[in-house]
Amino acid sequence: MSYGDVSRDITPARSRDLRVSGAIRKKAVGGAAKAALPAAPLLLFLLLFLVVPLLTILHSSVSDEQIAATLPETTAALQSWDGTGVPAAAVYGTLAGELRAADEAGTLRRLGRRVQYELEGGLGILLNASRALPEEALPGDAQAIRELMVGADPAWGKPGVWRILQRYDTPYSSFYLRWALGLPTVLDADGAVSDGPGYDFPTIYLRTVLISLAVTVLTVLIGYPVAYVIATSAGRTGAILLFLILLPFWTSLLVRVMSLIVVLQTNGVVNQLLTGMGLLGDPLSFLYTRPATIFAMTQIQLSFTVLPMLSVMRTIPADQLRGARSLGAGPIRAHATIFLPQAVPGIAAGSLLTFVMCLGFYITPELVGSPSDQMVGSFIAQFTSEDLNWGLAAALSVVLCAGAAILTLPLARRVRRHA
Amino acid sequence: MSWTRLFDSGKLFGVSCLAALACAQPALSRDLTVVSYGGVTNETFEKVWLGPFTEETGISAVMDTWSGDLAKVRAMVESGNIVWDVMDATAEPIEIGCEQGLFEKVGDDPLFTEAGLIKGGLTECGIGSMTYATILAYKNGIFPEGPTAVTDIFDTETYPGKRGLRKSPVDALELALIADGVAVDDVYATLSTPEGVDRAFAKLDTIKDDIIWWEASAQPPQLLMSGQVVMSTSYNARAALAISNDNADLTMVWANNVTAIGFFGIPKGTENLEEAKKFIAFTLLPQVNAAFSDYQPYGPTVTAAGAFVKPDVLPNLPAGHIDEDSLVFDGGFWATQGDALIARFSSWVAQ
Amino acid sequence: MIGAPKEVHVSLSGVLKTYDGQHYVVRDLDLEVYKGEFLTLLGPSGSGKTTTLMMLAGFEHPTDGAILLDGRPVHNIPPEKRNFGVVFQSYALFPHMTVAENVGYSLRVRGTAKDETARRVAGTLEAMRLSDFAQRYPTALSGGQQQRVALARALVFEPDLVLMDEPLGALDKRLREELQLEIRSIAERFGLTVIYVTHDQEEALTMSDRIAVFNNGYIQQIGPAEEIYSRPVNRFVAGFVGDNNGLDATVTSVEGDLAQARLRGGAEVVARTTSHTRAGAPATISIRPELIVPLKEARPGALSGTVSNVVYTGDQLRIYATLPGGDEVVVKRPTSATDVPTEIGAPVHLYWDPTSAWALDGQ
Repeated sequence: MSYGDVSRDITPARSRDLRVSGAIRKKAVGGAAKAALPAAPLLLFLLLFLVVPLLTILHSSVSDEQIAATLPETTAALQSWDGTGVPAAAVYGTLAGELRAADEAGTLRRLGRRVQYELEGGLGILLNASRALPEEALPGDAQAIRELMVGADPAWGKPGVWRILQRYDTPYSSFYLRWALGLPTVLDADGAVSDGPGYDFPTIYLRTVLISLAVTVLTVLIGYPVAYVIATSAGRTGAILLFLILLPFWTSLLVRVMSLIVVLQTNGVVNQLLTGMGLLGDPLSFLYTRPATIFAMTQIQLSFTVLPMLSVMRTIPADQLRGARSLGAGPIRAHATIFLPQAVPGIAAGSLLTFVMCLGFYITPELVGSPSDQMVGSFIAQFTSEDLNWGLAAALSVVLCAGAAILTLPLARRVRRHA
Repeated sequence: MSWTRLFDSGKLFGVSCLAALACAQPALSRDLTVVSYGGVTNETFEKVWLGPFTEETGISAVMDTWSGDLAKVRAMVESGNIVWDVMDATAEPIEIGCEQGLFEKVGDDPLFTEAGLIKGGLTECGIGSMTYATILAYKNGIFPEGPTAVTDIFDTETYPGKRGLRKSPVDALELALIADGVAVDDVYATLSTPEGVDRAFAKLDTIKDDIIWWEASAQPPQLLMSGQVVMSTSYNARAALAISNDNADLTMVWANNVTAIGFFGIPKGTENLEEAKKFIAFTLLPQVNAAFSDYQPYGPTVTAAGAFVKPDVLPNLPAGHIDEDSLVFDGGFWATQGDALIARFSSWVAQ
Repeated sequence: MIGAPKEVHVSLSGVLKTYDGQHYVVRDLDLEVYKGEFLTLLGPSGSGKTTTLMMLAGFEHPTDGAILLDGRPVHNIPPEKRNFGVVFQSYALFPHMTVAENVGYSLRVRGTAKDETARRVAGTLEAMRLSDFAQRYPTALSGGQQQRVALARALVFEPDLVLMDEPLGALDKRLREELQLEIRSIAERFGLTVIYVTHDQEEALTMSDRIAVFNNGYIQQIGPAEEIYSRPVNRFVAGFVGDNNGLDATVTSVEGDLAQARLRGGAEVVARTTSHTRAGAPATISIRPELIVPLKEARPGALSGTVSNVVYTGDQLRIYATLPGGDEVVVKRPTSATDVPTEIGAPVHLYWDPTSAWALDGQ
């Protein structure tokens, strides 16, 4: 009971004296700043290792300087080209010089890869041109260079490649973001729009969301009763269950996934049990399937859903359920009308945590799922460490972050309102 | 790296100094350094090639390890600080590096042209170091009559069940075309056309749902033994070792195998160029060339070496199976077209 | 209640409760509660009073014994079917429901018609002076208001029995006293049978028709407040209910219902006998502080001692006196009383009517 309650009950008139003067308020605010001082290392840490990387990723997703940096003069010269036919012979000369420089600097291949994202066979087209140029000095005659290049690859006599180069006289573009959203356009040598550059990202995002949703729902369905028992049983049962829930935190994620592989594989424990009991004639392939992915992720995420639920459920006094029972509600009705509504913030927090974490999963789906169960995280990892396509990796991350924010904000608001 | 730039940077002085030093001293200023991918392979290198080479020539040689990353070679060549002399690599980095001027173009040296290398065993910069193959392995006892060709992996009617395939367009596209009726000799020409690529993917589509993809070369025997798959593509060495060392009850199928050649390359500008060439030529001596397979099931690259391969090892080596129907892997093709095909494959496999 | 016909409403017979099979929380409990009675279960924590209440409510099962309501066994009926109103110390209000929704909960789960529910909720809130708060959430109410909501919620469905578990325990003293009277008057107005648990003896004395004093799982004494206070049956009850002086003594002789006993200092006192009193046995002489008259002059039958401390508490003086044997005796006198020795160290003579002292069980 606080003094505020007493004043309301007994001496409401005193509240007038409780107005705060400006000076005191200033002092209080200063005090709050001082109180936040111990959090300074955390804030600094977050700034350095969260905010800065996030901004870097945001920057990487729109940074697209490969073409402009490698072929500055060519792209500048192309700005006056009207986009029909092919550019003037002089541009071929400029390009030849810059290709030669890129070859010597070892950046030609990287340039070719970048062009290839938007131009069918782009890498080959550039490599062919570069190879066709003479070893020694370039011919002074641009027309001769043009003939050499067209001779090496007919694409140089068509507008496609030039239109791509023309686009990139600035170091920024929305190309990677458009690609991550599934809206890219790829040109063929003739300049006609053909199929996209691969990867049906909208489908992959949808898959990511659906798998994450399935895992979230499963962890809630499995975790809710467990959390309820832990929260309401004072004795040993609760402690043992809590221990079981926390146990997975003691082993590495990889070990857990590997053990799951052993359990699920064709000659694994599950199949041996099922065939041994005569429930299955032939062993089933559980591993490398969508359900295996979902179960593995559910197992990993269970504790993350349970713990927030548990912490909220623990704040619901046991007396409330007893109260409801004494008022005439059966155990199920009492639970549904009294306990469940108050557990909602915990369920929301746990679901939110699991859902957002699931969105970023990639190792587990790779180990127990088929390639068509790979989530967007796998692709971010692939583009980051294998394909070295950091622009696309960053763009995918940005889209994932933005999508996660849009999807979870309503839920997050709910959690906060209850909290 | 052009000569003009060497003049500009004044490095010529250094080069000439080094040359003078090399002339003054009969011994090398730096041991001949051979690099491969490490592990057991490096040990075998030392046993069968480096040791005998030093004994033979008095040139001391050491082994080093690399990961296959060309960037390191580029950094070395561009800085002029070259510490590797002979590099053992797969076809792709040798081809790409060659094109970028990172390796000495020694393919026309009579030391190699006259060594009797197998078909495809000599390129502009690469000299065949060993052969390996992508074969098909299956678990005995599942089929009354097992598959007879690697391309049987596409025959889900006769051989139902999950099958393992490397999660890479390399080998997969080639095998798809052969399975679809393309002659072995026309595979890369077909794969160079958009229609050919479409055809290969269309063929892969027919078995996509039955494939379990593997990535590490140790996986196929494990997938087979754990019953995840009834058959799988595998590198011949892995399957052979699983059979010989782990008593895996597997059969290797060689028909339509994809034979690949590992290559030696010499980083451009090494001071030990002559010694490097000498070392490579030494490994091409038939008996020396064959000795590698005494320790690891990697095949010789010299035709005449076949006579020196132990008869019990021969069935596990590509050399024992280079027939009309086997495809020789084309590293040059993958060096140019690889990026686009890998991108399309990654996209396809994830759908 | 005195004079009203005593109709047994609830009875517990031979009730046992143990959680671990070794220690009894409640043992051999026999208790009868009369219709319309306000019965308080009083005792220190761990004495078994709350467990008894929880068994009545149906939240705990007796290990053995029977609980009867109007002669029918109810101990196997789940709480929701007992039709008992329960008020908890924590109020147990549903924080996600408004006051009106809280109060109407029991009617809704019973399927009462909407307008009927609204009418009865409004009526109950009116009676509890809560009409203004109907649409508020419990957290927006003061402790006292919350307690009244809890009470309204427990009464609106016209329960057969109202059980209250330390309902005022969380409130400050003034509010508590106010609500004690309010609960008492509501109980009378509605003709409720109330079983009320508290550890506060003053509260028990203020509110109850009868008090059952619990200790160690047993009922030590049950009876009207006045009887518990003025005729405690043992040392525990005497000490727990009200202030009390307990002097260790040995009974020297028993004559009729009076006993002669010798205190540690050698002084002889006379007290009324109880079932514990035996000649030669140890006894605790129990005398309430307000029944002792402190005198400046010696007088036959009075104990002599010295004033060791004097405490002023507003309406009364507490005089602490030390007896020759080292026993300390507290005496309460109205502040208005004159002729009282108040100087520390001054001699004091303590006198009481022998019939107001009791020779209880000794140590």
